[in-house]
Amino acid sequence: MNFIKIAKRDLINILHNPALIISNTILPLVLIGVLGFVTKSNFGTTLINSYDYQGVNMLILSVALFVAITTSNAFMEEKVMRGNMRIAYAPVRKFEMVMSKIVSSYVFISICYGLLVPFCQYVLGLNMGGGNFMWFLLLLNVLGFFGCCFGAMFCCIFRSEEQANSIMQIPLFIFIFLGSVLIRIHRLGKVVNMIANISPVKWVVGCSYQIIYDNDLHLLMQVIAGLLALSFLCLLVCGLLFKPEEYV
Amino acid sequence: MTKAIDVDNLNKSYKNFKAVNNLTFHVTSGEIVGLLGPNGAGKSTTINILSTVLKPDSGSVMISGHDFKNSKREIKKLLGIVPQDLAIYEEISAEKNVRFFASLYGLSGSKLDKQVREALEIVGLTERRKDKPKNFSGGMKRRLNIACAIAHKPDIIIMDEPTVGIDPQSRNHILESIKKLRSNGATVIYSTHYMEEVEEIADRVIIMNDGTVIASGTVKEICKRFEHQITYTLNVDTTTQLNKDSFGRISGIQKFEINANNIVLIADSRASNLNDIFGTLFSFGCKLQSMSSEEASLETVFLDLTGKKLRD
Repeated sequence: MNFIKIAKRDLINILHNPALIISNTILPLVLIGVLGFVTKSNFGTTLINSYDYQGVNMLILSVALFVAITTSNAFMEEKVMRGNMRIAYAPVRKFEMVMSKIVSSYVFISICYGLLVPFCQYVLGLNMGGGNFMWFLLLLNVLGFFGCCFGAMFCCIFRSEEQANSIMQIPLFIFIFLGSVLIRIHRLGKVVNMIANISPVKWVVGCSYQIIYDNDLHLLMQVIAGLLALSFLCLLVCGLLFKPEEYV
Repeated sequence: MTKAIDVDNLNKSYKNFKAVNNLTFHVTSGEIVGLLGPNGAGKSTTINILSTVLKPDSGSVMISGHDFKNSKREIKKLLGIVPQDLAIYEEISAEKNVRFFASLYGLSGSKLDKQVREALEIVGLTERRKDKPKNFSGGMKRRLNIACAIAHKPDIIIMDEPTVGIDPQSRNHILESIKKLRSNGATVIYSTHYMEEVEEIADRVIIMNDGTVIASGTVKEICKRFEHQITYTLNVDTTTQLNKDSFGRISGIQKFEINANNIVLIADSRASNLNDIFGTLFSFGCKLQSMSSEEASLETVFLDLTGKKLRD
């Protein structure tokens, strides 16, 4: 099947890009280390320390920020775009072309974060939910899938990696800001807190805290359903807007 | 002879620019057709439509009996496209490139191995098959670009300026490869700006301008229409005294252009008007420095048909 062949090729192309590998492996650890250290004095040492807190936040931030960029790179990065152009000439359905980029980047980030979360939990000793860490990982995976679809959608809309990457940073930063991942926004008033509910990052942050600190899974299915619905919307836009001639 | 490609009244516009304008032509199976035209003539748009990645506004395209509108996948299987830009992955070996793209056409196993080997052999990259294209010269990359297009043995190969920016050896190898492909039964559309390439390999030439065909036929047939045309290029010390009417009254002069100290006259070779031309020059106080004459060639015919104005 061409879809699997192309997705495999796309995955190998991603693995040839050191910037993407670093962004999805080392960078989240650096962010955890730096922000954990900087905010150390704001936390006690017994129940939750700064590294536990920033560990969860920075992993969510990394998925929200870097995954969409990973997909846009797989889609339209200059070096791979040339080869992708020839795929457009081959007997391949246009949806296979889009989905292969999404699936390959999803597989890539699943591997990266599938290693990162247990690494943080068991090697660095951060609290990723203990026995519940798989649920947190599942949540990150679904957020990652949404990020892949979101990145692909921006490529289909703006038809260039550069434009897609620079413009999609705006909604991504809004999502991250409203998600209170970097700065806590609960003091900014009721209106801001209400608006914050539109941010998928906020859903994931809230659900993650419940899983990790309250051992409570009741939000999990709702958040996953919400993220999948948004992903489906992005896929719909991709299906409507993607034209193979954009590669040519 | 069966028609490999039949294009009828094709139109494609980008906003207010008509890239392809009522284009009609056909290509017979097994022939090499040279597609010529200045920049912006509509060649690449036509190629993109033929390769099914671009939708025309109107008109019909039949490829090996398949209708463009409802048989895109079948058509794609019959085509091998060599785009102007290199459509290869630089980070994987030449062989892996050819193998991957050929596999998209349903090839697998020993058949895939054999055809990948043959494609690399045709373009002369067998020795370097394990190397990554990022370490290749421009000519080798161009040859690999061709190998990726021919490994699945397409019936029709469409090449868009495949020899841009390469050394004469690579160019010669590519032209020889194309002849070999034709002898294996492939139909080739070859778009280029190099007239000598078309003269060497094409059975027939289509000249496009402003999105439509302005001439077609064999090189001989096209040049025959201009067989009595001769182009004189005169270099003089000054042209300040000359004006638009200076040469207009001389019999047999079809066109003339004054460009700095050069005068280009397109004349009927039967008119025997050289004495009149020299007489006119001297009467306007011009001293002749040098002179050349050129009989109708594909290049002069092309320039005559499409004009000498620079295109973007």
